[in-house]
Amino acid sequence: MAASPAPSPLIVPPEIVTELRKALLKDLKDVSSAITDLVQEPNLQRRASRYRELAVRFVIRQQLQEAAGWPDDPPPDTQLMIRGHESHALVIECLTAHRDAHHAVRAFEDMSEKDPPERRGSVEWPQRSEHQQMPDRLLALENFLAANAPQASGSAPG
Amino acid sequence: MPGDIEESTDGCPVTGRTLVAPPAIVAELRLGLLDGYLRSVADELSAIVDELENDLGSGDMPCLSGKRVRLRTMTLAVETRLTLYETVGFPGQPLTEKILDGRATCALAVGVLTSQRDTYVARLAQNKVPERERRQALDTVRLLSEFLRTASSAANQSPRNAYGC
Repeated sequence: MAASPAPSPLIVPPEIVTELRKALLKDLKDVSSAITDLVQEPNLQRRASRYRELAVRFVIRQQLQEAAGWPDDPPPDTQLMIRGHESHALVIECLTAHRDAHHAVRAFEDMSEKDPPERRGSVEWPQRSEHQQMPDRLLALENFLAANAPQASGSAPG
Repeated sequence: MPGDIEESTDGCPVTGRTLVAPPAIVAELRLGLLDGYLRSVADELSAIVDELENDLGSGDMPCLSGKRVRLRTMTLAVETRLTLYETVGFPGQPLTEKILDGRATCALAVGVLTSQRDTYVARLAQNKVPERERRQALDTVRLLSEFLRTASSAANQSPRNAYGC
């Protein structure tokens, strides 16, 4: 099978790079959980092929994190150019998940305003300061995803 | 098989750049990579992620440099593991002799096999293993010990050893 042509580079503007730094760390957490779960997989062939997928993802994620920087780095002032199918796809996937998580937090907070604290249960509560900065960041993310991954835009609730 | 031998700077034995793994050793490498070594990756990664979450959730601007270095080191280890993994193949694939190339890959293979051997020895020491399984485990321990001895000797003495450089 012939390889599909490489996509044009994905240009990530500085304000999205800031979000990408956090989104990649969330992906690290997901990969870590998936590897921990994988240890329990009894079928060695399934364990092998899944581990290979996760290891490749782990390595690409790290390369992207090195390029985008970390949340404790100074704010980015230049755009990032992402090349390659897998890197491109991972950036879109992480940012989409990050956007959806923002939507979930907003929905949660909207619900909380109607629900007194004593009825909130044991669910971990999002930090208010995060939420207050959300609309601008969310709008930027939505615009970026709409321009670069139309299939991923508008799928989240809210 | 001629090759390069590198001496460690800290006096520890250094594995050479090439190892020839017979099929039985390849089988143990496949198992080891998917068992004990996968567990160690999971534990280490999980510890780093927990620490990162604590740091990022603390509210202050955290300094993550230590974790960044650890994660970078770990990524190199995962890449080496992936290389070894691709070389020895998946469980279920035909078993054939494999040439393990590169100093880091060879060192990892020796680490995986050492861990495998220690696991078998620990299991045998429990005295709860059925007789047939016990005999198989003893054979495997012998095989692994012999391979590890030869690999170590190749790395430290003779560049023309069949298993070494």
